[in-house]
Amino acid sequence: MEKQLIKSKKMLWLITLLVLWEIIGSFEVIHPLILPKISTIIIRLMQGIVNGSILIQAIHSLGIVTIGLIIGSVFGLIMACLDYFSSSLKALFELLASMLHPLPGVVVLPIVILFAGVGAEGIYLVIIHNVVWSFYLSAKNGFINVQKEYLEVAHNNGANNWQLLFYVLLPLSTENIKTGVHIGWSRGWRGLISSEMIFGAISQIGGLGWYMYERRSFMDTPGMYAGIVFVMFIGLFVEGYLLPKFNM
Amino acid sequence: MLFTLHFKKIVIMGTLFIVLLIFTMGMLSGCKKQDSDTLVIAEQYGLAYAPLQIMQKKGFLEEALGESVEIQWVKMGNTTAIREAMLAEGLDIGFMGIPPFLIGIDQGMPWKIMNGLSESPLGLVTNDPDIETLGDLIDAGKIALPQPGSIQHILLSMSAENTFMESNIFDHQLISMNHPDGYQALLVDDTVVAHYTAPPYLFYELEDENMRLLTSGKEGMNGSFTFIVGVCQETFYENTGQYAAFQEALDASIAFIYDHPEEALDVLSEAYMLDREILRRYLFHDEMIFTKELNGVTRFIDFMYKQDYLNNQWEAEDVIWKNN
Repeated sequence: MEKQLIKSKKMLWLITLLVLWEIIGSFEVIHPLILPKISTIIIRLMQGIVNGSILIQAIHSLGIVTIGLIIGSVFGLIMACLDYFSSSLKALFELLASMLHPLPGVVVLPIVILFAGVGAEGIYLVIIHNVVWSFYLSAKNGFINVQKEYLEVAHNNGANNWQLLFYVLLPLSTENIKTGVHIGWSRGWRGLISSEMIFGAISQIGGLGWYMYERRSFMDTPGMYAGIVFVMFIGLFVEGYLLPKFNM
Repeated sequence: MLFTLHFKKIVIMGTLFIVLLIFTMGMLSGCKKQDSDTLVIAEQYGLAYAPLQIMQKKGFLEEALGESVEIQWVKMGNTTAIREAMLAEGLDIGFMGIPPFLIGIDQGMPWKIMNGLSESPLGLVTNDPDIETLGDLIDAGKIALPQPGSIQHILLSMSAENTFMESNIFDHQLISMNHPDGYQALLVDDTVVAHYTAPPYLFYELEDENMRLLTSGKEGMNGSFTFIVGVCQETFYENTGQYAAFQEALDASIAFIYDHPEEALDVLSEAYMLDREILRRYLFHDEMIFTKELNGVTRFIDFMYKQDYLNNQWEAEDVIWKNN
């Protein structure tokens, strides 16, 4: 009941804020090139969707981030496993993670550009960087938190390392791995949008980041806001619908 | 509901919160300049801005304005930044290419051209031995230029229109880079195969024996044209004293380059950190012309209107302030 109430209050607030925005916009208190009316932005967004450009660009971006997320997660998981069974690798990975995890993707961009150029490879590297460390840390946390009793039972039953991993460690840390996917997705998505805004179009289609950059260059402020709204919408869609649908 | 606030308290707290919010926003945007005793001028990097360097170093503007006005020079990375700063009323005068200016006025920016600043050679350069014509460039790799909608982008579209009757044929190959990054990328990055740029980078690239000019701005425009213009909003135009003083200082700066070339080279070689003799070659290149005369505004408008970069077909006199 309480939850329902909060939900409806949230809706009420959303509507209030949108109406307020529309009113401020129509009185042109702020120059419309700085803050256009919300209705103009929504109309522009609809145009973008109907013409197909923004939708195709969004799907393109989502595809890239999905591939990056999968690669980054696999690497992160392998690292967490190696970390569990080898203390020297544990030391190495912990050192790397503590140094690299706090670095935002945009910070490593200049290095990525030097190594991989400004093509698709560069964008993938940024996403993988954004995903891999947080995924590694989440999975590692999951492994550490597996209760000792389960490990002892496995040991007493003569399980080898592979069996320990597949029948005990992984199943018992699914919650942490799910968290890893969530954090990895949001970090990867942010990394993608910001590097698209810097790299430009990496293919024929370009991505959402490039869409916003281009709209800004042409001083199409409603179009730029439409891009931002769409990024927000995709974030909500993936976190609220898509990931739960895959039981994440 | 143990800790429910009374409605009255919520209203009071809410009001306080909103007041705080407005106050914070006011503080954040408080750096806006509104007073008439500071003059903020934005320029970008490049040889085409040389008269402004002279103006700064020789103090011509201070001379014309008198002591009471404080002058701030800011160097911005691209025209979008200048446009946005001017919209936020943090700028009096901005210098930029004609196309981004036109995109601004077409979208409702309340600004017009004060004067021209320079004509300059511009060009598209490649270092790929397999690319000999514009046709070879199609889908061959990335083309670096400052921004979509920049003068370099429009000139590239013009060349594409002239050659293929398709102005946007290269649009999906663009990558946004400022001139130094684009130069660097052309040198070391295999994905970037061409760079549309301006002096001094254009000159550096053309002096490299591995690089070739694919097309020039002159070819795209079918003739010479003004590269950089000075732009201001109505508030500064109506401030006739400062407006006239700025024009006077600009006249003096341009005249100084041609009347005292040696001294100008001294000042500029320091400002651009370029060797004096190299700079002499660049600055007094046939196609580098420093002048307040405007050339090519209508041609830009016609092309950009025809290719849907502009929604309105402007008359030249509607985008230029009348000099009084």
